[in-house]
Amino acid sequence: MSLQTARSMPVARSRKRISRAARLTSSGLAYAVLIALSFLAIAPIVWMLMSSLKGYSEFKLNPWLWPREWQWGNYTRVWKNADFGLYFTNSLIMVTGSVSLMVIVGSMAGYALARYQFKGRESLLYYFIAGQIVPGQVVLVPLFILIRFLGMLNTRHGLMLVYLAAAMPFVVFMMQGFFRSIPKELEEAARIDGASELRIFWQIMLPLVRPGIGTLAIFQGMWIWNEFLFALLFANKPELRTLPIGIFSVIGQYFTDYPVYFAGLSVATLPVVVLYVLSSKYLVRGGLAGAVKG
Amino acid sequence: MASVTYEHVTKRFGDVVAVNDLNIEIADKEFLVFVGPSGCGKTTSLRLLAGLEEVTEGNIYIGDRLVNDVAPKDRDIAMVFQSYALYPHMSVYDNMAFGLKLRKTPKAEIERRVREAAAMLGIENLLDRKPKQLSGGQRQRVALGRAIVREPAVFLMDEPLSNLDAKLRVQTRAELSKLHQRLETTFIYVTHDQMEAMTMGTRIAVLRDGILQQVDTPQNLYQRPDNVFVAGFIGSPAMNFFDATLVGTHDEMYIDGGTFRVKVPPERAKVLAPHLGKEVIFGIRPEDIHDPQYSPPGITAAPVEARVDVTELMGNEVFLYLVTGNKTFIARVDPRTSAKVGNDVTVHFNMDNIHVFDRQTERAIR
Repeated sequence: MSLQTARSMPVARSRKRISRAARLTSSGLAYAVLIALSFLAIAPIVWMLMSSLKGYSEFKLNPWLWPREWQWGNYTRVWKNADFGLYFTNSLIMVTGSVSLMVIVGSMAGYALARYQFKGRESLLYYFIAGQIVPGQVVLVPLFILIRFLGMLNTRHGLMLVYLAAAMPFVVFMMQGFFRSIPKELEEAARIDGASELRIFWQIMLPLVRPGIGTLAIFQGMWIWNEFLFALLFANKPELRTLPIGIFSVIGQYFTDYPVYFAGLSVATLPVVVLYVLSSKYLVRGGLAGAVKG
Repeated sequence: MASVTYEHVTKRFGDVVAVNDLNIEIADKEFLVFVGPSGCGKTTSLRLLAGLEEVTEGNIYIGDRLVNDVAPKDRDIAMVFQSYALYPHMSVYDNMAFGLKLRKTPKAEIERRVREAAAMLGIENLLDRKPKQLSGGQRQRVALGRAIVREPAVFLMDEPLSNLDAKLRVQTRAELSKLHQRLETTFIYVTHDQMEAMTMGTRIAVLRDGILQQVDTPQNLYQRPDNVFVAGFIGSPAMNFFDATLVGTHDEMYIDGGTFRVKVPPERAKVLAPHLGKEVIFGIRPEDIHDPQYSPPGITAAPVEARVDVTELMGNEVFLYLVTGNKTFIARVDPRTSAKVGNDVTVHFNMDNIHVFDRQTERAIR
């Protein structure tokens, strides 16, 4: 036995060395790929920030270099000239309103689909899933006609309703997944404790899917913050313009002041980036919470 | 405080019959244990009583009240779940107080009851914590506390100890018994562990495939099992069974197990007489098989030859795995035994404690 061990030692050692080398190579490769990918992701943002601090002529002459003179004035100009304060407020209202609606309607629908047995439950769920397959652009024309018919064209609530409808398939599907991952016993315990259906929903179930709701709210909020097409079609009055539309209005037919445009873009991007960085840990957790079950 | 009655209760899930014509009367202040292998319908029986499942046929009474159509919250019951089902986002205090708050109990009263239950369970210092900050044993206590503060007429417990480690389980078992004595309330307890059932229940209901096999006190269940299933389920190590034939005459009757033949005591022979010549199942518990050297005095011993296959020393006793013919059986003998693996030995069957079952119906012959 001892002889065998002695003889097999060098083999084991060399195997160890090989596996160590292999490990180093593979992790090195992984780092290389990850660095390349993060460069691809970060470069456009850095370029945008860089360009937003250049004068117009400098931007035209050397678009790829670091700004020689830092033109902070671009930011004051975009804020004053393009009525950025208004766009900002509009975007904020749209995001808060739509996301609140989504959470309220989505969580209730998701809970019902996850927990109640009723006729047509399965088909309803598939109907929602099918909704995810249809791209929003396909239904743009009928949607426009419908909203106009309802008299909600160029109103805030009209646009909110469109966002709500567009997001519902995904939100409901995710929410029912979150609810499904909560053990049934909690609900039963509450029922024996004397809680009504509504109370079980509000006081027991909803607090438990809070991480999931947070994730959904952030994702949907970011989408609405950046959304362009629906906003352009359904709320294109100057006083209703959201950030993406507002920034777009800086682009003229014959002349675009790109540095100012980029300054606008930077201002619009900033809140999303900050939010994302602050909540990234939470996002991963929430994303997983729904992914494991349901 | 209340009695509970299951009257011809049947529960079907589609084509599956989970509980089949269950009839039990559970007296006030009794500790009844539903026991059986998984899928035997014990948990379903409990959930029917809790109102978490609807009865397909039959009636359930709590006290004199028919509760078939009464909502769980109005049945005056409290339930402890296997997973404890504590509300993760509430503190221990709020978990315990939740049911009382919903019942609009005055705040001072809630405070008093929660503190009292917490003191009883030794969890006063945990009241501000969240469930995830507690150990398994502590969570289990909180789940119990949540039931206690409600002061229900009936306590329902669905395998509340199965998530605890072995040592804690034994300890909590004793505490639950004490709690039952102290609260003087009807307890209905579900477990798959026959040891838990034996140690805690005032009566035990053994279920199999949705059918009630026997309801009796632990002692009677152990000593006078009604059928082969109950005999094999209760007791550890399980009872040994041999396919055998009753041979001889009315006065001199033997059980012929093929490789051995043991004499039946006269008073048992009288009972077994109608089955003379018939095939039976012969059962004997491991502790009724002795090493002849240490056989207790006064028993009706019958010698049986066997070969020792495995020995397991438990400290206070030795388990001998013995082989006769191609049949293995277990004897629980004195630790001083000299039996070794491979030895051919003679063991004594204590014929005063034998069990004989009809081979066809598997029912005890008495």
